[in-house]
Order: sequence, then C-alpha cells, then structure tokens
Amino acid sequence: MAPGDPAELKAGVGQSGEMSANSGKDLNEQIIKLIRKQWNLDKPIFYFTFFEDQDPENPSSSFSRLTFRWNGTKSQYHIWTSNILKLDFGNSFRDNQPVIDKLKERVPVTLMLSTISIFFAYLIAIPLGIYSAVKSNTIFERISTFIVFMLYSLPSFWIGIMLIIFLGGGDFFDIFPYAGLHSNTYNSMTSFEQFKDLLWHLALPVFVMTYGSFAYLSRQMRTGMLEIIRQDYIRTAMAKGLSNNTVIFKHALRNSLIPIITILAGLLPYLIGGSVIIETIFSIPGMGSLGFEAITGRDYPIVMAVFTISAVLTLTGILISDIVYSMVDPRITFDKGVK
Amino acid sequence: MTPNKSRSYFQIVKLQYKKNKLAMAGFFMVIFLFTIAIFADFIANDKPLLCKYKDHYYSPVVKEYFVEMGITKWQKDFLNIEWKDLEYEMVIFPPIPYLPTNLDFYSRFTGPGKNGHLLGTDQLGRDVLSGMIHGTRIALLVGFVSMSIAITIGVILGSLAGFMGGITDIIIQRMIEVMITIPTFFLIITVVAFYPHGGIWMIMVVIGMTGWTAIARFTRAEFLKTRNQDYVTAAVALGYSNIRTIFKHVLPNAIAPVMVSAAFGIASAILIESSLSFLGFGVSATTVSWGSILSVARGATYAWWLALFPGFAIFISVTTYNLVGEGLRDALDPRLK
Repeated sequence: MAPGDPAELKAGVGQSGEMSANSGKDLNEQIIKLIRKQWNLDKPIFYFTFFEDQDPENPSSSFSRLTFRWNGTKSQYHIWTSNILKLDFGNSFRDNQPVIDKLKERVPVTLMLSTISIFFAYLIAIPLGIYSAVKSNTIFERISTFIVFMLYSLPSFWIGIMLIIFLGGGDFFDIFPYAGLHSNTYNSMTSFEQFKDLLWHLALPVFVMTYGSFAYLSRQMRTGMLEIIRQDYIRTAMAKGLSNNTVIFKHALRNSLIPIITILAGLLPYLIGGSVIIETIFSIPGMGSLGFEAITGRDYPIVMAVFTISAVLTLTGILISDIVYSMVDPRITFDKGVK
Repeated sequence: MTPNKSRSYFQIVKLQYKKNKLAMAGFFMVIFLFTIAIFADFIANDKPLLCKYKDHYYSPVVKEYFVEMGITKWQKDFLNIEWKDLEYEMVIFPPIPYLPTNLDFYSRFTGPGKNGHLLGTDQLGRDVLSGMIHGTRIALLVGFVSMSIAITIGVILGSLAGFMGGITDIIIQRMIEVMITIPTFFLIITVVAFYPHGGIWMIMVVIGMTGWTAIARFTRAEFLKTRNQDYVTAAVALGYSNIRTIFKHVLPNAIAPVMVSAAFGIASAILIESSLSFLGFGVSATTVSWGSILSVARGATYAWWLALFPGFAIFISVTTYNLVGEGLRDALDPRLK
C-alpha cells in the first residue's frame, strides 16, 4: 500500500527513499516541500482551522491544539472551488496532464459499456416483468421470478472472475478475452474486423453489467405491474369486455412504466461513473478504473473530479426524474399546499 | 390461539411471514450461518477438541478461550508445538483440522480433495474451507455491526425529522441529499485506502456511516404518517417529553419498514466488505475473509476453487438476507403479495 502523502509518493520517499544515505535526506525533504508548495498541499485545507496540526516532535492532546482560525482565500478548498467554477479540474499529480483530458479519454469507454448494458437490461426486463405480473402464479412465472431473484443476489465480481477463469483461457475454455477492449493486432484490422474485435471484448463485461441491472429492473417492473393490475380502473376495463391485451398494453402498461422511467434517470451517475469493480476486473480503461487508480495513487485532483462529476450527475438525475414524474403523472405537482 | 383474543400487529406479521416458504428458508439459513460463525473454532481448528495426553484429558480448543482471556496459561508441553505431531493416547480433532491462518508450504495451490484439504488451498497453503468457515464470522460481524450503526443514525435522524418537522426536517433532509450525491462505494474505497491501518472495524464504521439514508427516509415517512394520530396527540397532551413520545410511543409503530431495509442492508454490507477485500482493501493480510480468498483467484486464474467456493458463500449469505428482507416486506404489507 502506498504511503499517505502524494508529495512523498512523487518524490519517491517511502519505498526507496528510506534506504538512501542520510545526505540525501535533506534533499528529499526540500523536494517534498517544493512539490507540496506547487500542489498547494502546504496550505490549510478548509476556510476554518479548528485544530492546529500535530507537531511530530512534541505531540500534544487534541484539546490543547483546539483553535479557531480564518484561512479565507488561502485555503485549498477555496482554490479548488474557484478553479472548478472555471471548469478547471487541475492537473493530475502523477503525470501533470490536465484532468479534463483524462476524463475525455475515459468517459466514452464507460458510456459505451453502460449504454449497451442498460439497453439490453431494459429490452429483456420490461417484457419479462410484464409477463410475470400478468401470468401470476403459473409455473413459468414462479421459476422466472426465482431465477431473477437469484441473479439479483449474485455478486457481480464473483461472476466476473468466474467467467474469466472458465471462459477466458485458463485451464478451461478460451472463448473470450479476459482484459482490455482491443486485441494487439487491432490497428492492422479492417474496420469490420475492428468492430467484431470490440464486440468480442465487450461480451463478458457487458454480460456481467447487464444481468444485475436486468434482475433489478424486471423485479421493479413486476411489482409496479402487480400494483396497477389490482386497481379498480383495470377491473372496470376488464368488465367492459376489452381484450386482455388491450387492458394490459393500453391501460396498465403506461402507468406501470412510471417507476421504470424514473429509475433510468437514477442511472445517470452510473452511466458515466461506471463500475469500479467490473472495470478493474476486466482491465477496461473507463471512469471506474480511473477513479480506482487515482485513489491508490493518491492523485487528489482526479479523485476530486470523479466525486464532483458523480455528485452533479446524481443531482441532475434526481431533478430529471422529478420533472419526468410530474410530466407523466399529472396527479403529482410541486405546488405547496395541495395535499 | 383463541379466536376471541385479538391478535397484535406483530403476531399477524409473524403469521404472514411463516406462510412464506422461501422467507422461512431464509430465516433458517440465518440461524445456520450464525451457528457456523459462533462454533467456527470447534468446526475448523488445528487444536484437538479433546485429547488424552500423558494420562490427562485436555480440551485445547476450549482452553484457548481461557488463555486468550488471560485466566490460564498453556502448559509447557503445549507451547510452540505442532498439534498434529504430538503423541496422544486418545484424540478427537475437529472435522476440519486446520485454522485459516495455518500455512502449509508443501501444499500450495492444492486443488480440492488433495492433501486432506477438502476445498483446496491458496498460495500460502491455507485451507480454503477453514477460511470460509471463519470468514462467516467476519461477514456476519460486518453485516450486523455496520447495520446497527446505520440504524442508530438513520432512526434518530429520521424520527427527529418526521416528528419535529419545520427547520429540523429541512436540515436533516438536506443532509440526506448530500449523502445520496456521494458515490458510496467510491467513498468507502477512498476512506479505507487513505487509512489502511483501520482494519475491519474501520470498514464497518464507514459502511454504517454511509448506509443510513434509506433508513432515515423510511423512518421519516412513517413518522409523518403517525404524527397526527390520536395516541400521539394524547402523549403530547399528557405533557410527555418529545424524546419519550418519539422513542416509547411512535417509534415502536414506525419500526417495521426499518427492519425491512435493515435486512437488505445487511446483504449489501456483506457484499461491500467482500468487494473491498476482493480489491485488496478490506481485512488485513493475516485475516481471512471470503473476499480475500476470492482476490487470490484474481492473480491465479487456474485456481478455480479459490473463486468458486468463497464466492458461493457470499452469494448464499446475500441471498439469505435478501430473502428475509423480501419476506418481511411481504408480511408487513400483504397487499404486495
């Protein structure tokens, strides 16, 4: 595990630094100081300081270090916030490249992966959910509900690693590649071959990403549909003598889709944020693995960027789902006093 | 039950729950997992359960508890020895004669069934089955401790928000929204990676401190429902303090949905801990948990037994708690059946 301070990490102290001779120690400390200054790590973290830093030479209790100081514009948080307002995420500690460039590189990968998997999840989940709600208590329904429930509880990282072991060319079958998005010979392929190669690499990660959300969605669809089917207006429609299909697809389906649509808005952060575990297992260069590498490498600007993007997307998702809700369901308003 | 005696709410819930076969299966699985966790030392241990050595009977497994508590000490004969190699007059070993920490360099990466290791060994020759049995403890501990923390925070904040209303409600709702915007799993990885010496307790605290939002929202909603009921007004009118009204009168009626989300929460806490250990952040290197066995399989893909068995254990326990959660939800709200 890497040591805590990114400046020490950058200066190479920790693993090799401690072994170097004493004469190098002073130099090392100077370098660390310079790096800290360059990255603003020597400044106080927040607008206020409540505790003085622990002096390593004469440690004192936290009570005696209690203080109150106003750091104002010199705090790291202020500098970071004012940069974010200019949409400047700073430079990566590791290679000094702008964070925004790295994001531009990684977002499309994750976006492709999650769009495909969400598309498939919805494609299978909605019909299955409707079917199992309508044909309640048949043998097929019971089996499919049970299987969906099992899928829902299957840890994705387990399935991922099992697929790699059994299908990714270990001692068993060598059907799918176990890492990355392209073969080594990708650049010398025709574009059709490139497309095929990409699909071949995407198969396992997309499958692992899909089955979990598929299970979740089809369970939601089923509960939503079950609730609607028991409503009075459905009974009225049945009593009018409308055909089963008309009742289900014209009367029930629309209302039962509402929660499913709002879930889609909730998936927004996941669309771009990606999955840390799946991207790490399959070595896919997406947002999830970017964040993961940043954490292990103490690359603060990237960690902050990933958190910020995820927070903004979550809030946007909540906003969208609220708006969509009030659009598709006129009973819901945001006016006060109507209750 | 006599028909003229009215049933209490929880009796009805219990009856509904018992009707659900899958939920009952989940309930028995919880008991089974707890049994394994409690008796892990008696099921998988390198010390004999009972032995006769130099004309005296000993039970080293039981004795170890007392030694750890500092009540007794090991005899000289038993210090720094290999328990297998002693010459007993009579001996009963546990069914799995290994501790998860016992190294065996002669059988590294042994497949299942070979060299006396039923489910194989890892890169240091540690027995997988023993690791799984002792890992049950960690999984249950993580599940229950982190959910207790989450329930405490969630119930207190949720009931305050629902009961007090006004500015308190607004502040707590904003707190919940701030928590929701943070990508939980990412935050947990960050905290655990930046403070690597925190160990398993740190993980539990972090999971608990990030997992309370759903519970707080459910509790708040229940409080909003019950706040204007007559018995609450009566309690307020009688001059009871807010705390007494909240915790003695309203909370018992509002706790049901909390139980449901706690059951699901235990499942997700177990999942989070094992994924953390899988990524290499979880338990320390000397502790063995389900996720840490699985993480070895990442580097050694030919050792399929390292992935299959602990993963199955995670799957089973997650399913178990999901089943219990489902059963509770259906029992509390029979309309959904």
